[in-house]
Amino acid sequence: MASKTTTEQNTTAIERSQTAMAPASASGGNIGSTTWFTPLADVAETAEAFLFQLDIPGAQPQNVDVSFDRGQLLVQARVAQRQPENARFVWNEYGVGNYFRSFTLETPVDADGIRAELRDGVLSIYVPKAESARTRRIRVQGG
Amino acid sequence: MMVSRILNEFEPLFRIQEQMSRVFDTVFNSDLDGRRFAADYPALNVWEDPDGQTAYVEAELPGMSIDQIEVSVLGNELTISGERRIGSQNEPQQRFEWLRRERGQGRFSRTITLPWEIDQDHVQARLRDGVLSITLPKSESARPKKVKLLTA
Repeated sequence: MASKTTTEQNTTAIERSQTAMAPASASGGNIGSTTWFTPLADVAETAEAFLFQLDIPGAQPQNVDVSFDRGQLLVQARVAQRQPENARFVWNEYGVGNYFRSFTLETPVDADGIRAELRDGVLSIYVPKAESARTRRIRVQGG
Repeated sequence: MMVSRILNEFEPLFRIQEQMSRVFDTVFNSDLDGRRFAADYPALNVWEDPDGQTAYVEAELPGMSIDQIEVSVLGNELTISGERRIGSQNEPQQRFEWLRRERGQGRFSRTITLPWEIDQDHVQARLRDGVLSITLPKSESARPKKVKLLTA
C-alpha cells in the first residue's frame, strides 16, 4: 500500500511524533474575519477503505460539512466562540474558530459509501475504496 | 496559531506556574511509577467574570470521556490530569496501516495556580463535545470584606 495516497492541501508543519501530546489546533489562518484552524488528523488504510479521524473539539453535527468531489475529501466545521463577550482573559493558549482541511485521494473510492460520525469532538470518516481498487488475496494453487 | 493574550494584573502569577511546568516537563516528567506524562497538555484558556469573583478554565480534550479525566482542586491550585487513548474504539478489526498520525495520546497532568483560594465546594466541571469547562468560584475568605468603621 502506497503511503502517498493522501496528500496535504493547506497544512504546514503538521507532522508530529506519534506519542507527543499536541494542541488540538495545529495551525490556523485568517480568511476574511474568521479564523480557520487545521484539525489534527489520523488516517488509516485497510484493504477496503480509508479511515479518517479528526479532532474538532466544540463542533456539533449540524455545523460540520463533509464532502467528496473529484478525489478530494473536504471537511469544514463552524465553531462558535464559547467565551462571553465581557470575559477578561487571563491566559489564552489556543484560539477557537472554524476548522477546514482537505485530503486528496489518489485511489478510486466509492463516494456513495462514505460515512461520517461526530462524537465527543472527534469526526470519524469511513471512505470505502472502489471495487476495482480493493486489495485481494489470491490463493496460490499448488502444482 | 492565533494566540491573543490580554494582560492583566494576574498574568505574572500564571507565568510563574508555566515556568514551573516547563521545569517539570524536562526534569520530572514521570510519576512515582515511572510513567511518563506530558506536563504542558492540555492547552488552557482562562478567563474571569468582569467582577473577578469567578474564574473559568477551558481545555480541548477531543475523544475523551469523563472517566478518563480527573479534575482536582486544592487551595488555589487546579490540576487536570488523565490519559488520552485514541483509535481503540474505532480501530478496524482487520489489518490496517497508518498513513498519518498527528493526534497525540498518552498520560498528562497539568496544574495551574490561581491568585486566590478556590471555593472547593462549588467547583463545576463539564465535558461537552470534547471541551472541558471548569468553573472556579473565589472562596469566601478570599473575597474582600467591608470593615465597619467605628467612631470613637
